[in-house]
Amino acid sequence: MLPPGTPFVSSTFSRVSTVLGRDVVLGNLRRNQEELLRIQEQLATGFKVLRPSDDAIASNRVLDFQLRIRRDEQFVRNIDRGVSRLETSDDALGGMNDLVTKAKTISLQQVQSTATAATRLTAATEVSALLKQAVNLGNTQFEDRYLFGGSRSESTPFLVVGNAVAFGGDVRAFDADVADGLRAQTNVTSDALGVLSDEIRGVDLTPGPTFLQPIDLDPRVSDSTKLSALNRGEGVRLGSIQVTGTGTATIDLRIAETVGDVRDLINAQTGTTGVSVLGFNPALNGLQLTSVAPITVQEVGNGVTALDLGIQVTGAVSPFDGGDLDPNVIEETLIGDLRGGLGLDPAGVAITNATSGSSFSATVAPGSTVGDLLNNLNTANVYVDARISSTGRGIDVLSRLSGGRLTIAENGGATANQLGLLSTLAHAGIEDLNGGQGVGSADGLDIKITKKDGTVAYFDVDNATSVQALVDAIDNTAGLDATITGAGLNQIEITDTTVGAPTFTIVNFNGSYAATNLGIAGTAAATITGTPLTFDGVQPVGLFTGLIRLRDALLANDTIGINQAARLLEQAQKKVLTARADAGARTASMELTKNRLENEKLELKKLMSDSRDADLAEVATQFQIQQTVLEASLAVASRILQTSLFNYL
Amino acid sequence: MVLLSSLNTALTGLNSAMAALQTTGHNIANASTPGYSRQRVEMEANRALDYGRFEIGRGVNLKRIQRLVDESLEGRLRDSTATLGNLSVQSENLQRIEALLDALSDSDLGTHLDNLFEAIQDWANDPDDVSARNGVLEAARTAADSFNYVSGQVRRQREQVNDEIVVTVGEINRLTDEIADLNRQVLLQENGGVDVGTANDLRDRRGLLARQLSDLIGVTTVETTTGEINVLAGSAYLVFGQQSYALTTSQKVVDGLLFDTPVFASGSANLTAAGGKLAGLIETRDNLTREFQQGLDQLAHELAFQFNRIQSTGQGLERFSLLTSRDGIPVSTVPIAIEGSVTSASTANTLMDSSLVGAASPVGRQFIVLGGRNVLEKRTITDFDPVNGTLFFDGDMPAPLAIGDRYQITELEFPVVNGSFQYVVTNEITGSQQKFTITVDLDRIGADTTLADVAAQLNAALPGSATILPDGKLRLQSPTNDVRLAFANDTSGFVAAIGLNTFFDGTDGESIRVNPDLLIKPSLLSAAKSNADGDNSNALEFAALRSKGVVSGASLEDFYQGLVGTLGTRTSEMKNRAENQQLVLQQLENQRERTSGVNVDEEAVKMLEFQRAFQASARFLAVVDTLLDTLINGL
Repeated sequence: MLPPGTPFVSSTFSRVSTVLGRDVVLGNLRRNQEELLRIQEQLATGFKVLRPSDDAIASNRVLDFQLRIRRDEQFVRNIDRGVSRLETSDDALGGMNDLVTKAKTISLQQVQSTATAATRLTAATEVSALLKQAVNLGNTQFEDRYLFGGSRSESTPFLVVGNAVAFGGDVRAFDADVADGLRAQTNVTSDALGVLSDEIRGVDLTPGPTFLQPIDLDPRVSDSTKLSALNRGEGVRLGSIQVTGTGTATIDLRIAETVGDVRDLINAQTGTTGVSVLGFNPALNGLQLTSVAPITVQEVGNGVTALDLGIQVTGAVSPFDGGDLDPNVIEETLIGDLRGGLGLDPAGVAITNATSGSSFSATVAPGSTVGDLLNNLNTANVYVDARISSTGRGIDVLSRLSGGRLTIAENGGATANQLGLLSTLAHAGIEDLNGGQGVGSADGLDIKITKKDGTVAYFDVDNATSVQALVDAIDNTAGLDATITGAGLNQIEITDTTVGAPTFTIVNFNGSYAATNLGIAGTAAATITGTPLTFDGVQPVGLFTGLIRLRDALLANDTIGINQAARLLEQAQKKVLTARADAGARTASMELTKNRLENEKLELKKLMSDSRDADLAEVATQFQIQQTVLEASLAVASRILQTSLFNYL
Repeated sequence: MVLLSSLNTALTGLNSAMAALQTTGHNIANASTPGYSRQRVEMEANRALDYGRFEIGRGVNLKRIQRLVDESLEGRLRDSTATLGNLSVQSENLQRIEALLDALSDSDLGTHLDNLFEAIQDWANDPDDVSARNGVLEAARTAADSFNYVSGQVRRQREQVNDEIVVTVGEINRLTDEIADLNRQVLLQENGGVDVGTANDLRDRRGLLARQLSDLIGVTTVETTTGEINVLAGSAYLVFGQQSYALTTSQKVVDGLLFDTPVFASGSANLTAAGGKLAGLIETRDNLTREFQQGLDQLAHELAFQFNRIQSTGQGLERFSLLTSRDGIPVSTVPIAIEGSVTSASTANTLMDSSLVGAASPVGRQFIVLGGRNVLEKRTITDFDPVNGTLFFDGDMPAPLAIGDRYQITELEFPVVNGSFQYVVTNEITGSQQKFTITVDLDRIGADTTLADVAAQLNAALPGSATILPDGKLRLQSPTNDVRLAFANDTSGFVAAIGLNTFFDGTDGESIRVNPDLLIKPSLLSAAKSNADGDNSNALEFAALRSKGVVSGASLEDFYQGLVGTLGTRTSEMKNRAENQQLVLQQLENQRERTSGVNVDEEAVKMLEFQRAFQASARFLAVVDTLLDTLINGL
């Protein structure tokens, strides 16, 4: 748009033709009118940028702002939904908290001396009602979706199974996008409520320094192993490597997906490099390179591919055994590849879980995968959650049945031991001993050991997370050795290695019955071997278990059981409160994000307006000016065009 | 005798004044005639009679009537007109495309894409809700319709521009014929070149036609010594003397459309239209609209592929008991895809890749270009040279392939790479899912995976489930009622490329549409990655696509913004250039007017002058007549 008044009259030539005069006048008129039209467009729409070609940079910004504003509005919508969901969950959790408090009160009352078998029976009915309410709360719905079922939100998460309560959902998070690149979890997952047991986690059951450490099933590497599973799940940062044997070649490994692909890519260049990968190292956990010449494998540029693949080396003698690729256990891992290629005993495991002893035997077929085994366990009717452990090195089997006891035993072979899932005394909890009655511990110190040299050691069993932990605590004390022995590994044995008095003693302390119930109370010259102990399987520690145990203890008129149930309810309440706090924190954080988004939206709208909107006052003024100019222009034009010499001849 | 010759002197005065008056009248009458150059009478004194000691003049001689025109200015005007013709055509067409896209409005393609992602977010909050699913499908349908509309309109615009090219060629022929004829007339009027420069009005007309021709196709003119002009477009003659060389159009198929290329009818020379409307139209048709169309197609292609990848590897509220792929590979024993990149500069219908040296012959297969100026072009391989690794194919590329352009030899419309996918077999009664890994080995080392290999692996996992149909499509069917099929974790892209469980069907702007199976059954939309109904992890993946860099490193929305931005900058630049050129042309025309234009007032003054001259000569004639009368009758 050329502005009106752009000079047409050049001062180098003073002759003007008739047509020239007409054209100049017409040209200026046209420009005036065009300018008026443009201004009118601005006034009618309120925008000064109507199409990208008007101002490409401004329109680019406008488009950008528009996108961001809409995105922020969507995030706010997501946050609102998420917050509603969390608030409804929080209400349900509040209800659960109240139930637990009521149950605790009942348990307190019914251990008093004033309580009788009759009062306990009545109380049991009350607790039954509380349990029913808890199940209902657990099955709270929000917009036709069960809140506590994880991603299984269409089916009831909590089911009453006989005397127990089974959890049928999962513990997946339900996420929503709440800001650019920020995803927030908008549900409360039920593991926070303690509906899954904390055990049974695969642990190393071989005696020795790794005893009871998380098990490492150490899958061996094969051609089909995915690169993403290597290095304990960290994968391999793919790039190029430079391989030198008799010759040198740079090999681009970026298209490789499996270990077999890497092999193929390296072997494709054997003609040039003289280096080939024929197989795996003797430990079966890394690559093996062979060549007639010394082998060098180097990175290209700043890459770390050779390092991640365990084959970074200079001048190695053939055959060169690459480092441990350490693949994680994934669902596709073949059972036969576990334990460095030894696989698992096909006999399988026997699982028992329930108040009434329903059991399941899962055999391990050759050629099957870890995923098959997990599927087998999960679809059986024993209410377990079998999964690959969070470390990715083993398998965990958790109980979903509140009120049940989960034990895993051998099915005639050694599979449970190999998987580290065998239920043993060592990693049983103290409270699970003696038919679930525990050891009658007291607050504070429970056991007093007087050694032969006269020194005394005290132990608090409540500090021990498992029997093994207690045994370790005793073992770590100077002058004492402790271990778990016996044919069934169910006896605690303590040896006094000091000298002095002829015997050492172990007694209950502070009103506790722990030493007796652990079978180690007594006196001996050198070693006390405890009586064989029984232990129950693991159970979820949560409000359902607490209520069920309380009800059962009340029905059985069992004060010890009531106390145990009270302890469970204590832990359950902690969990519920923690879950509430978590939900609350998340809600608060999302509200903060929402505020930020609302502010950002306002800012963006303002910026967009600055870029796009016309300043109406300014435009209206321009319009006036242009109109005046047009009128003047028209007046002058008519004068010019009319004047001619012929008027005067 | 002096007296008698004085009569003659008077007569010459009268005649020349008359001629001058007539010329003035001619000028005044043609003051507004376009292309008219004012004419001026040139007079010279007649040869005097020599009387020895003195000479007596014998009046005035009309030497000639001169046309006042600056030929070099005419040349500059022609050039300027040609440039303006070129620029204005391009500017106008770009503005049309910009108006079509309407990017700043609330109903443009970009907004529809945005709405789709918003609908997806709402769906992620409510993964199993039917109305949320329908919301997504509606938004997808609107976006696809938008693509179809814009692409269709751009194609129609290309076709219209092509029609204009044909019409312009006809116009050019008409003008060259006329110019040739005028050459003949000028020659005739100027007595075979003897009186060069005297056929003023014919020359004016010829000059005007030359300018009109330049507007259509930029020309230069050369005047011969005989007064004819030769007209050249570039270095080829359009008019030589009295011979005009006609243009015609040759047709060929480009991008599935029939395009006309202007060529010389006699085939005597190559026609290069360097300026004028013709150049502008050709540039618009072959580059401007094509590049924009290509950008749209790239966006649609990537949108379809990415959405298909996510949809095909998730699970809906139900899984499949019968599923047939949209696309297929007719020969099931060749590798699914062979990836390569151009290693030497190629011509418009060859591709040279050194990695193909010694490879098996791919003749008969198709390939698709994945990068560079020819992105998404598909061709069939007609010949193969294993010595140099050269592919020959049907149909020229719009531009020769450049070194580094990636391509894949495959019959599929989307690229497949080395990787694997999982075949998920669900027992709907127990709810357990088994996942089988299917390898897609395409590393070009050893035997690469063929379609038959894939089917074999699928059947090894679930016997009897996979069949290859005669047209090369893959059909999956679960053998029993309670077993359903799905896919997961596709790192190769195969499942989406062959078209199993797609979100969008179609591969470019005009063909993209929502998979009709989804519209009938919204429950098939994959929100989950498992068979849990409340699992929204796949829906969240759809949502994450918004900011993932999938088209040449840019996200879908950023790529669209890039298209809009480029178009906006180009349009604005072309608008400015056209306007500036308008100004330049106006200046030159004004210059011409100063030199050659008629000023009516000037002519009025001249008219007075010649009128008096006539009167004076007439008076002189009367006086001489009286003198003669005295002589003759007085003796």
